[in-house]
Amino acid sequence: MRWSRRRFLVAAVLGGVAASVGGFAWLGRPAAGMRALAPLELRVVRALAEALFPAGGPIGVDPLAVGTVEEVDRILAEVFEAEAARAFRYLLRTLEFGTLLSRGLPFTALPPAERLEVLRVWNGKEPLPRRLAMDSLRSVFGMAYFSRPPVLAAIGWRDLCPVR
Amino acid sequence: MRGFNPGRWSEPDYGGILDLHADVAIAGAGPAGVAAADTLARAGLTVALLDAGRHWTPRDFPRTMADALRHLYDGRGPLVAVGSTVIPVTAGRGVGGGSLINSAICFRAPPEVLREWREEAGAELFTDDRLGRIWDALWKRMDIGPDPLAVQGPNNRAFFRGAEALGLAPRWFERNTPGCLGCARCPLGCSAGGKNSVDRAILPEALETGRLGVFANCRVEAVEREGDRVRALLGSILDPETDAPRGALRVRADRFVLAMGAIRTPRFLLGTGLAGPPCGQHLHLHPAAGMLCRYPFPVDPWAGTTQGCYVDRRDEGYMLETVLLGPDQLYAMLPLPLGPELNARLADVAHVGSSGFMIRDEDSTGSVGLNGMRYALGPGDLRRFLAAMRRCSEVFFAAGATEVYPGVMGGVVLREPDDIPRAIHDGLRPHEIFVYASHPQGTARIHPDPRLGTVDPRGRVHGLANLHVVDGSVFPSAAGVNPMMTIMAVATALAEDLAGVG
Ligand SMILES: Cc1cc2nc3c(=O)[nH]c(=O)nc-3n(C[C@H](O)[C@H](O)[C@H](O)COP(=O)(O)OP(=O)(O)OC[C@H]3O[C@@H](n4cnc5c(N)ncnc54)[C@H](O)[C@@H]3O)c2cc1C
Repeated sequence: MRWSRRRFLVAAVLGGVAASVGGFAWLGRPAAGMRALAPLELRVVRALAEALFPAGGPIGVDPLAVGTVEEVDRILAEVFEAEAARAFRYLLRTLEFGTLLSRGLPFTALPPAERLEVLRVWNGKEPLPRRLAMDSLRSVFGMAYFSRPPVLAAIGWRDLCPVR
Repeated sequence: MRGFNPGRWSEPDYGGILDLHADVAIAGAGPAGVAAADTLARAGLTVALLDAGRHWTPRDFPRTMADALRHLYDGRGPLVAVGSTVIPVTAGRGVGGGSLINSAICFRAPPEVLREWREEAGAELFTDDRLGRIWDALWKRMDIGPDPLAVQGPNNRAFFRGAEALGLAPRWFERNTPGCLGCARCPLGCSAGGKNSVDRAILPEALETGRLGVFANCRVEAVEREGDRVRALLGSILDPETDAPRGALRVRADRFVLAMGAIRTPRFLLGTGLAGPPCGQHLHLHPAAGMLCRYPFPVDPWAGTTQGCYVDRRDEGYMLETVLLGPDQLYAMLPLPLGPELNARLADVAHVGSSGFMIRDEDSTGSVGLNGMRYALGPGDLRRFLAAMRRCSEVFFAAGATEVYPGVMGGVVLREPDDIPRAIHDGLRPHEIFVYASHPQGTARIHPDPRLGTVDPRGRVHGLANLHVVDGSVFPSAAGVNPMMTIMAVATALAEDLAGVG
């Protein structure tokens, strides 16, 4: 792709925010009961799960009640290589403080509907770095939420494979 | 553990040290490494086959995608090729390599591709006769054939009907899945034991020779070299759970074979200084994409063969191939606004259909380096990619879909066939479409001229007397069809030549 001036600017701003929020700071120890997520990141993951899969929404399974947050933490601790897990945690911090610039409040302080609006903007097709960041959020939250048995039961997904 | 030990071994057996000696040492136990090991052991040579991953049995396979990524995929998830867009590239890991998690589609490289390889790259071993004989034998040993219609599942059958209605002559895949139950879980490893991955179909017979040792949890990292000869492979014994180093390995042999796949093999050659450019260049990927749709009738995407039928349009540069995807993948791919609309589609997932396509890349440019992969879609390949996307959309509509989600960025949804040319026009740029790949090839390609290829026509690394490459890295260009069986045939042919048989 061609990197237009505008794209460079957006990427630079995103990178700058990430660096100032996380890059110079120690990411912090895991929150109580977590293996990867620090307390701030844990709050962002909760807020994300609530915004993406609201308990009263069409699927109707509360993400917090079925262990989605714990599964995101496990994916970061066990599945991701260390560098990728660190990048993901910076991304959570970027999301948290990015809305300070655009909406005057950190992501976790926004009402759920407004959180969803932010995520939809992030989900837009450009700029590419932001879209890739959103792709990785969707993929991790998708793996975490749609592996929970109550969620699979709610959408009617059946596991036909016996274990031999 | 020391000396030569036939059988299957893993980390707890080694006692922290592995010091082996064999006639031939092979790095990588995927389809290529296993095919080569089988050929060499049957020819009377002792073989040490090493893999960074672990041994698997059906009951051990993970039940979630996250755990599958952790244990069965190289890099614990997609690697990426960056260039005109960002392309996730997946590869398998473990004794069995990609055959543990692939869709088991079996094709033979077309005669015109083999001719191209012989005429343009001097790959004289790859004659129709020789590869034909090898394929016939592999087809029998891996019990390859079409799956019964009963396990194909409603999604694959709907696509088949749509393609038939358009006169596109769809066909059911031949697969190495004689016990397939149609549970669409191939990418997690077949816990039903229905797939004849190479660790189940070829390796047991090779082990019966008593001349093969298979060493899991062994990552090859370096070599001992003397002049133009490699003396030993060196590396680490890995913890099967965490991959943390648990000891050192050294394997001495007369001949060494690399079969770590078309990403790791060139990286190893470059990283050890055993080869320089053009090693790593000429990466081919078979760029591919998954596409989704919504049917007014249920297609139960959890039921059926992971990949069921195909439409062969190699005359237009592509193949349409159905594919079933997990709910997490559907969530990541559906182009609907996040929140209620997207969740509503998932709540009604029984109506979500899927298929996909791959192209034979011809004018794209790609490379594997020590710091990553680069890949830029060429204009011709982009045109073929978009043509495949349009054709796949047509088939969805012909099958009865009411909405098609073609994988064009920006939430593009097609509601009728007339939308197809408007949304999937030739002006789309690579970063505006979703591209994926799982068929890397060509990165240590065969050519008699060391300036143009990394290995000579017999698979020997230029400038080295006893180091050979047998995996898809050696392909002079893209196979044009799903490559596993061509990789196995090529590995067998090169191993026969090495052993002086066949
Ligand atoms: C999801 C998916 C679906 C696919 N579906 C199909 C299909 O249906 N049909 C088809 O024809 N093809 C398919 N493919 C492609 C096919 O699986 C590959 O082309 C094939 O597995 C390549 O074989 P290989 O032996 O060259 O390499 P691989 O299968 O990649 O095996 C390489 C092995 O080397 C090991 N290794 C790597 N580095 C080291 C090291 N440093 N030390 C020791 N060991 C190492 C790895 O653990 C791995 O086991 C698919 C691939 C994927 C990822």
